Amino acid sequence: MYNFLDPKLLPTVSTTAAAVEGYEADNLISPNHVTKARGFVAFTSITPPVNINFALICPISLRYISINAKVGTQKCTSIELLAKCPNHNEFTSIAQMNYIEEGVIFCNSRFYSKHNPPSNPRNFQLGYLKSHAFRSFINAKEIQVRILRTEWSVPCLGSVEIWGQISKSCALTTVKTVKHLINKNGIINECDEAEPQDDGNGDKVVKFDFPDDFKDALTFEIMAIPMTLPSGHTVDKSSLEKCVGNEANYGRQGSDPFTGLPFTDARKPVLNVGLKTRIDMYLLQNSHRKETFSVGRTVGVKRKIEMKSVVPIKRTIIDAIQCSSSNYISNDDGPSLSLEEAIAKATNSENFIRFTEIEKIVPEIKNECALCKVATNLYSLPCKHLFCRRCLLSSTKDQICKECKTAFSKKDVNKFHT
Amino acid sequence: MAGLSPSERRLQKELMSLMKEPPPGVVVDVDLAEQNILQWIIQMEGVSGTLYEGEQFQLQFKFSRKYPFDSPEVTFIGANIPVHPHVYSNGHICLSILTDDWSPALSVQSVCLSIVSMLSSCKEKKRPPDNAFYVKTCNKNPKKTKWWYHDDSV
Repeated sequence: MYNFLDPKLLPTVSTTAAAVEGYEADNLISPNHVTKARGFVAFTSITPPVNINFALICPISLRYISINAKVGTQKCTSIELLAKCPNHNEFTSIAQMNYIEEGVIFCNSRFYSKHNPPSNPRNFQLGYLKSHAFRSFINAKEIQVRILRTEWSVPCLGSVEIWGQISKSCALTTVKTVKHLINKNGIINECDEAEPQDDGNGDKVVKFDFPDDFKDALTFEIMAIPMTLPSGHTVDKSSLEKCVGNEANYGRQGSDPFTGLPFTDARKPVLNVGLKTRIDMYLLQNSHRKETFSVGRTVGVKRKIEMKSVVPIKRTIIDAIQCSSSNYISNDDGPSLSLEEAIAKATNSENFIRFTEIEKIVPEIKNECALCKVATNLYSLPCKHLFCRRCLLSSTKDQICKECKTAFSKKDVNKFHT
Repeated sequence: MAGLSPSERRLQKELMSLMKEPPPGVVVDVDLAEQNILQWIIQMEGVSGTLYEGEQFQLQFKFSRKYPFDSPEVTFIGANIPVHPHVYSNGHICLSILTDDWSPALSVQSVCLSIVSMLSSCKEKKRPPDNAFYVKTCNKNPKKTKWWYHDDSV
């Protein structure tokens, strides 16, 4: 929540009434504390009503407006507030009050009450914004303070504070600009009672989100079993079942919720296998993110595997859809194979993709010359065989390892250190 | 967004789109809707050039946890309830998409548009013929009423 009349937020003020010299309306938004403390006093011949307009940096949602109506011994006793939304030409009255205290606080009754008033250090009288005028004060770009009555004095205003939040209709860049302006001098002028949820929403600009086409067109949830409707929209199977169930309650046949056309054999929802694969792949790649934890997944249907029975299990259509993702791994061979056999069979099949290197069994090589068994002054060949200097020199002529008959070049021979 | 139920997530999304690009003459009370996402108040203006030009109406939307598979409860509230052959003086609206013909593909925006167009096509300002009887006997919830949609012309 900000005070939008803070000079950092670049408000402008205007009035048609002439002011006493040194007490112009500009004082109300002056960055200079001495000037600001002087306030606004109209010229002696001016009589109410006097309008003072404040134009704000952006449309705001009003929380409260605190007005000090006393300058020296001058005091006004009745004030009306008006607000103007962007794109509107006229001001709408949002509050009016006659009061006896030195000032008045008009607050939004949605956020404040008698028991929960806004910060009010000088005991100003409490007034409320007209709740039926909410359209004007949740999106107010200009505020007009109208002085309606004074107490044996000229119209004046000691100070005005307009507290509120940036309107929800503002673009993100506007919000950023305002935040930037308010923090420009390193002084955070944010009120203590600003709700924490607002801070959370504002700062988290970069947020992980799923692509829109992974979301159900009806519920906006990530789909587990995407079904494409005849109308081209894709919804989750659970949503589709709910729709069809609701239609059945009215004694109607299932229909496309987007067009209302009943499903027929030629025109019915189909499982979108391509999308299903993309969703699963995306979930797999982002499985470290917290957001994916709660997303529904498909699993194979729990079925009892009967030993020695070769009778194929009858599958219903629903069954087939639900386990379509698990169909790729079939266990048609049944449990007759032992585990090792099954693994061997699986690894040899052409559908099997290996993600790790096969561990080659490397025979243990003793740290000695392969020919004369001498353990000192050894050289190693690329094939890991060791030779002493003498044996190596005798075998360099053909450059072939005497042990395994693989060729090597001179530069690949390294001194071997135990 | 993590702790939202499916109906709340969808409503949140609809609220955003209604705020960003509202249909003409329709304003949603964002603060109230954010306090309770299951109950919205929508301010509606009579379209210029129709019988309701210059009038202001308030619509109340109540959503159940089953939304969007269950239709919202939509009534006119406040001081000004439009005088229309399909709107009873207690604010209940006789509109088929609010009960039987509801489809989850409809949204708050489309319901608002339907109501605006229903009002706009009115030729004569009068209450439904059975208004007095209905208002005395009806359930508080318009969805409990067995409506007879006998007239498509208005």
